[in-house]
Amino acid sequence: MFKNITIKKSTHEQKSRAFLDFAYAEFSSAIEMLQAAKLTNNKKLSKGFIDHSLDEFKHTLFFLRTLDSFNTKNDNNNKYKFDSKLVYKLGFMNSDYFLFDKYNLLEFSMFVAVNEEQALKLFTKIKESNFIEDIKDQKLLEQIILDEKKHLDQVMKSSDFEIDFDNLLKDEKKHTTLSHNFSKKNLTKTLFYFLKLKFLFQNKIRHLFSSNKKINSFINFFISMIIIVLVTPFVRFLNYKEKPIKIITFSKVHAKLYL
Amino acid sequence: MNYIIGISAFYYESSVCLIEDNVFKEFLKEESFTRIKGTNTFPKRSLQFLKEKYNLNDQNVKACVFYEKPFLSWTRITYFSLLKPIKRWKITSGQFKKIWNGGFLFSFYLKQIIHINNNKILYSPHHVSHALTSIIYDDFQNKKNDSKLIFVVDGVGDGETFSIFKMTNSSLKRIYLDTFPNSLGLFYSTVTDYLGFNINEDEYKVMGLSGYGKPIHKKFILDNIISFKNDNIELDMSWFDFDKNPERSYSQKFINHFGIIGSKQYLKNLNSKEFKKTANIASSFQHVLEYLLMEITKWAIKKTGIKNIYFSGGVAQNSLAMTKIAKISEISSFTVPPSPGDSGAAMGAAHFGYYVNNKKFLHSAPLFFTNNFDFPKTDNFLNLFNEISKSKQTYKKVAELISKGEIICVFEGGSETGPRSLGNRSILCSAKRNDVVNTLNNKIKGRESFRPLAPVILEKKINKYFHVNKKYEHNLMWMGLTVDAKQDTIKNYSSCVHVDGSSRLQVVKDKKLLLYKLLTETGKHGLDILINTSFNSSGEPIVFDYIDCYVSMVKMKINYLYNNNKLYTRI
Repeated sequence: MFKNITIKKSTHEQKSRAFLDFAYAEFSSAIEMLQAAKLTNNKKLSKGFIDHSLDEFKHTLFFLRTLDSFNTKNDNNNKYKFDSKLVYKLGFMNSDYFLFDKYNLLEFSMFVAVNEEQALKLFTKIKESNFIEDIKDQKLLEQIILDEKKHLDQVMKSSDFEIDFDNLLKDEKKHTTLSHNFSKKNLTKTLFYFLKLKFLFQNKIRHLFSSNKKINSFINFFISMIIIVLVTPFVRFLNYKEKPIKIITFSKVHAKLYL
Repeated sequence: MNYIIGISAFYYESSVCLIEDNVFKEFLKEESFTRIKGTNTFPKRSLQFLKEKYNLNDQNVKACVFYEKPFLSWTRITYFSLLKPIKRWKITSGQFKKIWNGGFLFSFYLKQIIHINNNKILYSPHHVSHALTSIIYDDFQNKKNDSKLIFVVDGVGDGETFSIFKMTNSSLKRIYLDTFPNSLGLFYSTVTDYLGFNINEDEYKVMGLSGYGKPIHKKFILDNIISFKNDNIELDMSWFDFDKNPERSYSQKFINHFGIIGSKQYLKNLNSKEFKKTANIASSFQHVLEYLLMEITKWAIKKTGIKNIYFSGGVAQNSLAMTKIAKISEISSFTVPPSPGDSGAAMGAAHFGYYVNNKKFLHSAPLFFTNNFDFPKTDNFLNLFNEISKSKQTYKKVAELISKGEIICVFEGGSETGPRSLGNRSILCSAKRNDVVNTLNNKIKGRESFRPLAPVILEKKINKYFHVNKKYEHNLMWMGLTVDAKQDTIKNYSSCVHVDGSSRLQVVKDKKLLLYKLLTETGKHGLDILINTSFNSSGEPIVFDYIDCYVSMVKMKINYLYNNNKLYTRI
C-alpha cells in the first residue's frame, strides 16, 4: 500500500506529499487491522490484530508529526492536510469492502506480509538517506519535538504511545515476520510465492496512476475537455431555475422524481 | 411493523435513519462502522446492519428516501460550471464523475442491500430534509402546533444554499432562497480552509479561535466580499476559488489581502503575533456570519410575523452564531436540532417519507437511540479490560474518582443523535481541576488549547452558574447553544469557560441518565459541574463497540471505563 518515492532528489513538496502518503498508508493499515479484529472469531488473533492496529495508529501519528514539523519549516500549512476519508479517493482503501471481508485469513496474512515488507524496505531506505535527517537538523523543529515530548512525559508517566523511527522499523519488522511466518506455516510453497507476487503486482498497478500526479491530471484534463466541448452546446437545457417562493408539495409523484 | 428509511450519502457523514411505525427508532452513521471520520460513501454497512436487525424487506419497508434530488443537485452546479467552461473545468470534471459515483446511483446501491420496489424509492429536496429534521424535537418545548419559521443554511445542497420555510399547520411554504455560489456556508468554509483547517469538519475550530480575536476586518468584508442586497446573499466571487478549484476555496486576491498563513505551530502560542492575526481574521468572519444571519432572521420575522424560529443545516452547528440569533428580542422560541448537519438530514428524509405515506408530521425523537453494541459478558472479553466494581451503586465510585481528579470514559445505553456526546459516549472529569481539564484537552484529546471543553450541569442548578433565557433553554439538553457564565463560575470553574465568557453547556434533567446520578453524587462533594467531551481520540469517530473503547483508551492513555453498572480498567 506504499507508494514509491525518489528519496535522494525529493523536493520539499515531494517530501511533504510522501509524509502525508505514509500517514495515509499507516492509517489505512490500522483501519484494516481493526476491522480484522472485529470480524475474526478467533480471540487470540483478534487481540493480535488490535495490537497491530495500535502500532499502525502510532506510526500514523509519527508521520503526521513529522509532516507538521516539516511544514513548520517550509510554511506549507495549507497544502498538505490529513483528511482520513480521502483514503478511499487516494486508493489506499476500497470503500466497497475491507480486506478481511474479501480475503480468507491466509490471503489476508499474505497481503499484510507483502505490504509490511514493502514498508520496511522503504522506511529502511529513508532512514539510511537524509530524508528525515533534514528536519532533525533544524533547531526549531528539535525544540518543538522536545517540547511535545516533555509535555507528554509530564502528563503521562508512561509514554508508550510515542514512537521514534527506530522503533517504527522494529514494529514493521515484527509485523513482517509474524505475517510471513503465519503464511509460510499455512500455505504451500507454490501458493505462498504466487500470492506474494499477486499482491506485489496488484500494489504496483493500484498506485500506478495515483503516484503520478502529472499523468493523472493530464488524462483528467483531456477527458474533461472532450466532455465539456461535447456538452457546452446543450448548456441551456441544464438551466433549471426555481422561484424562491414556492409551496412544498409532498405528493408521491413529485417525491419519486430526481428533479 | 412498517418501516421508513432515510439515507444521507455522497457528501459528508453518510447516515441512515429508520422510522418504525411512527417512532424514530434508529440513526446510524456509516463512520461508526468504517472507523473513518466523515465517511461519505453509500452507508451500506449501516443499512446491512439494520436489514439484519429488523428483517427489512419489500413487504415491511414502505419508503426509502434519499436526502436530496440527485438530478437537481447535479444540474445546477454543472450548469454553473459550464457557463465558464475553461475557468471551471475542474468543477465540471468533478460533476461528470459524480454521474457514476453519486446520488444518481442511489437506487442501484440501495437494491444491492434491500431489494424494494421502485415505487418506494423517494427523493426529498435537500433543504426540505433539513427543515423536517428541525421540527422533530418539538416535544422538548411544546410548540408543535404553533406556526414556524424554519431557516436552512448550509454550504450547498440541490444547488441551494439558504432557504426559509414558513410552516403553518401541515403546509410548508418556502419564502426565501439563495443559490450556489452565493453561500454563507461556503463563505465560512473558505476561511476555514484558508486558516489551514479541514472543510466540513473544522469549522468549529474557527468559531473557537474567533473568541481570541477582534473583528477588525468586519467592515471590509461586508463592504467588499459579502452582502445582503435585494433580499439575497451575494458573494464577490473574485475572493473565492471554490467555484473553480475543488482543492482550494480562497483566491489569490484573498491571500493578497489577508496575507499568508504560516504553519499550524502558531496555534500553540496564544500570545504570538501570528496567533492574534489569525484570531482577528476568524473573529471578523464569525461576526460577519452572525450579522448577516441576524439581519435575515429579523427580515423574515418582520415579513411573516412568526416568532417561533428553527435553524438547521451545517451552519446551524455554529453554536455561537445560533446563540446570538436566539437572543434577538423579537424571537419567542428558538430551536436548533441536535444533528442539524448533513448526517442528521437522514432523519429529515425519513420524516419526508413518513409524511408522504401518512400525511402527518412527527414531533418527537429521542436524544439517544437504541444500544446496538453492548459489552459482551466478562468471559467473552479479549483480555482487554479488568472489572473492578460491579453493583447498582458503582456510579458512586465513579463520582468519587471524578471528584478526586480522575478521568473516566463512559459507554452506556444507546448512542447520541447528534455530534455531541451527552453522557452515553463520553469522557468525564471534574470542571474544578484546571490541571486535569488541560491534560484532557491538550494532551489526551490532542485538541488545540484555544478550544474549550464543554461543561455539564443539573437543570436545577443552572441559574446559579449561568445566564439562561427560557426561550432557548431546551437546546441546552443537546449542547445546541452557548450560554454566558456568571462571575463565580468564571472564578471557580474557569476550565469550562471560553475566553469570551461563554460555555457550550449541557443541561441534564432526565433522572434516568447516568449523568444525572453522577452530578447529584458529585454535588454532595461540592462539585456541581463536570466536563463532558466525546469518547474518541483526535480525528476518529465516536466509539461504537467495546473494541473501539479499548483502542481509544490505549491511544488516549485513559484507564477507567464505566459500562452498565460496572467499572473497568484497561489491561
